[in-house]
Amino acid sequence: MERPARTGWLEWFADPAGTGFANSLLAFRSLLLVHGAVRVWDLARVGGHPLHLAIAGILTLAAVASVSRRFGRPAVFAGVWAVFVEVAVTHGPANHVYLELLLLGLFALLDPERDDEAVLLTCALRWMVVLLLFWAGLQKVLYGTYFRAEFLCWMIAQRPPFAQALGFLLPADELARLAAAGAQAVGSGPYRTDSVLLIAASNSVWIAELALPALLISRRTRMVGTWLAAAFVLSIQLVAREAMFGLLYSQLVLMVLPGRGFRRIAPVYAAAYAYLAGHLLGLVPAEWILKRGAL
Amino acid sequence: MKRRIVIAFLLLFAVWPAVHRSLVAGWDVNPWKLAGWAMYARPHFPPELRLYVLRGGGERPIARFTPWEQTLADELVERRYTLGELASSDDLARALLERTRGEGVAIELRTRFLDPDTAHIGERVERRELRR
Repeated sequence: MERPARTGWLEWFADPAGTGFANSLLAFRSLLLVHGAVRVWDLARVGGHPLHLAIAGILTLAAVASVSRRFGRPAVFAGVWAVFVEVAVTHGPANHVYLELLLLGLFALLDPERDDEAVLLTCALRWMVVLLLFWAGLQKVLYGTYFRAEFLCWMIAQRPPFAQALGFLLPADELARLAAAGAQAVGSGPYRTDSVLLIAASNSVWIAELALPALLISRRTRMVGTWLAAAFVLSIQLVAREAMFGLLYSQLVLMVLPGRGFRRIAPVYAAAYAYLAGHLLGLVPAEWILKRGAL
Repeated sequence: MKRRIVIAFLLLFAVWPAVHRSLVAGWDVNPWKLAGWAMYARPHFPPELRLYVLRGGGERPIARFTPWEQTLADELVERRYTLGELASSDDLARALLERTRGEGVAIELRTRFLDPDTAHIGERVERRELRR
């Protein structure tokens, strides 16, 4: 198998030619549009901006059209325009909306069905994974709220899902103290613990976020690094009940899998979005993966 | 050409979180927003807005608002939550100054934060006065 002719730092993440990664890109492209459609239907459902209904409709049509090779590119253009309008009319959208916009922008710029552009696109997505993980870890170090589990203590105090997921790492009296603190009042606290287990868990978050990019960059450890990163991202987002960020972020991470790797996993994500769509229609419960009941 | 665009994009993607970090440090921009990838790195609380009329050397809280002032106040709180001190309160200050009688108006924004030194919730007060 040959590597692409152009080999700068950008192509460090290129797959050997002929391994079929265009199939993974096409699957991810469709899932991105499905992701946007499900997310914005939820906003329209809870009465967000009046434009949400139109944006959700456009993203749904784009998601359907993207399955066809003929309409795939126009579908992405429509999708990137729709999400851009959404970002423009929303006060401070969530970071995963920006991520979605950036990813759709890359798909609008580069055609996965052209070999040279597919290489560029694959490499860009993989560098984004490395940078995202690295910065998420470094920001936690810079803000300094993970060394003695300050942030996790505060989250345990203010969000019951965090207390449910991490409470077992704290002595019962410490957990009760945090639950009583309320997390909002001026002067409340201290949001800090002596529990070695919670401190270890807290520090393991930023350490993992800084270490995983190194595993992804090295070709020898890339495969194991990808699975570890996907498991890490999904478990963190499950604790936080950030279903949409978790789905998007983990898909991006799994785009590091070589060749058709992501294409093989794509049906799992399609099923996850179908489940969330079922939740929007009131058919299935999804509170166990959602923050405050919304996507 | 597209390769250059991708490289420029990735460089920007790599540098932006550092810029974002300085915006948070300098202007209290929301670390959870604007693609700085600092979600779950620090709590960020919605601000509390208090408005006063300055009269006779003292001040009185403004209790009633016109619908327009209410809209401006709600927008200021939303913008302040995301953009920090980069959010301007000029429109609201002017609207209040126009309607109220007195020497001026004061806009007070109270924001809470998790103090990393004490691990307690602290409060910061920003106050701006606009006089006739």
